[in-house]
Amino acid sequence: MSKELILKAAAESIIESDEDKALEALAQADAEGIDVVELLSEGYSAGMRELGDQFGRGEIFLPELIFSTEVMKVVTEKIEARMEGSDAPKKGVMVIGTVAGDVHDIGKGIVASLVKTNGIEVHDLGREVPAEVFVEKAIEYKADFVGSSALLTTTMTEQKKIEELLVKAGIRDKVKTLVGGAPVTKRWAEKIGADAYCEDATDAVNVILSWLND
Amino acid sequence: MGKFKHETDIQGYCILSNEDLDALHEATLDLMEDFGLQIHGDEALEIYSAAGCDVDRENDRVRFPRNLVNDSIESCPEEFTLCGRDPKNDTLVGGKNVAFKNFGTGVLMIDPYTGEVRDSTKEDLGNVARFCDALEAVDVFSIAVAAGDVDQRVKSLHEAEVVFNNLTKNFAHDLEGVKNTQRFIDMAAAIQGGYDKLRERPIITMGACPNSPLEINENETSIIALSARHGLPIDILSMGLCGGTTPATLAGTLVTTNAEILGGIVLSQIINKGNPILYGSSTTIMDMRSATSPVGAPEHAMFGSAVGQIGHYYGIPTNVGGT
Repeated sequence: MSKELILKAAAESIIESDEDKALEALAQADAEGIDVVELLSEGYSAGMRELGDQFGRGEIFLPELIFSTEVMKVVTEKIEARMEGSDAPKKGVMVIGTVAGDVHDIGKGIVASLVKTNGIEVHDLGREVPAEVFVEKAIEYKADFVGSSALLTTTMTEQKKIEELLVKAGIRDKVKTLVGGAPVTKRWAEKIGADAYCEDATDAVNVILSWLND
Repeated sequence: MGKFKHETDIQGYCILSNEDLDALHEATLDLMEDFGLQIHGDEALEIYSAAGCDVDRENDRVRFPRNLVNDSIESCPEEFTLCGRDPKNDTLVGGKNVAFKNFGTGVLMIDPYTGEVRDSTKEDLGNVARFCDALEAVDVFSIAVAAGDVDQRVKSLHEAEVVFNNLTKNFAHDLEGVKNTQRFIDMAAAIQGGYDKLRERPIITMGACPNSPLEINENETSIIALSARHGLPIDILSMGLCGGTTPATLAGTLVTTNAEILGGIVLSQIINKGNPILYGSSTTIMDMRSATSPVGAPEHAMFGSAVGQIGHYYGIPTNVGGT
């Protein structure tokens, strides 16, 4: 099978949420000696990007997207296991979490999943994460992106605190901040000095990818 | 009306049959007994344990004996009064009484004079409270807009202050943290002339929301405990999202959210048997296209209708999202 066809099959396997097809594409790639990193970024990830667009257009719904991210995780794990030892450069690193005092994390989980399957190293800090921890972990993981989610009007102020602490820690200019959650708006993002307001997971992915391409 | 009663006088839209209600209750008891709930807070776990629940401290898991749940439902008052600073604005809830509460919480305001869209302020909240106070259609007030212009650490207290000063109807507030909740209760007690007077005529309604699926956090168990100690009406409200945080089926969602709410109710009744309770639900579907929680979905109204019936069945006043 030619390289193009294998990459195409890989992309399709993600679009169709077909784990068997995905693993078959991996096996084919091995047989043809195709670089798995390329398979990941030009094959599977291409499928993921297409899905993200479809979701953004309302052509597919959340369950389809989640099924695909599950397949994506399977192949990514297999490929990453092989890359242990060889330094495959990550596109970027993100820390993400739901802010202190807030336990709503369904949306944040979807964002983390989708961003991860687009080749970003994602550290999900969980929920009820103090602003200090966001900053601490951003430093520890050398994050490029800091994303915070808040679902209550009472907890969204934590997002402002994160901005302030990033400045205080002297790393504000080294990261891009993203904010999201039901009460969060573009106005709020601008008010607190966040770099981007993301309405949903596809938004977050698009924003991050556009920053990476700059 | 009685407890575990099958209604014989339903007119109009009726979504659950009597058999459904029995099945719902049995399924809930099974779930609470076998699987249990994830409940946090050492104090609460101690209380549940002492009352006979099977508590796994290591994993914060509580399993409920059936009779404890049934007894808790039995001891909830069927009817009670949400009081206002002005007694003529008292609201009776329970049975077939229907009352209305304004919705919240907005973060933006369309300025009524300039038409500008801007952040909402403490003053805005006071104005809306005064407006609702004058409106016959509004019986109970809840935080319509957030006070965006005050120190956010004590935001809920600023909101309480401006509402208390502009409202003579019952006030259902939204608070975070035990400290601010205590201060809020102190404010209401100061207005009424003491904690005893506040207990007699509660001008505030407290609130605590379980976290679907099947979890109650420490913040909420603390607030339930504190409110029950003061004998204040507590609105224990679950907002399940079908397919997101609860089963995809409406029936399955009714079971899991029922378990969450009853889990909180049990705590309140152990601490203060007979504590006034509102069984609350804003449950809706998760919109699978946009991953949002639409309260305009038909299912939201269907759940509201089901919860109304559940309230009549259990003999507990209910609070549902408007449609």
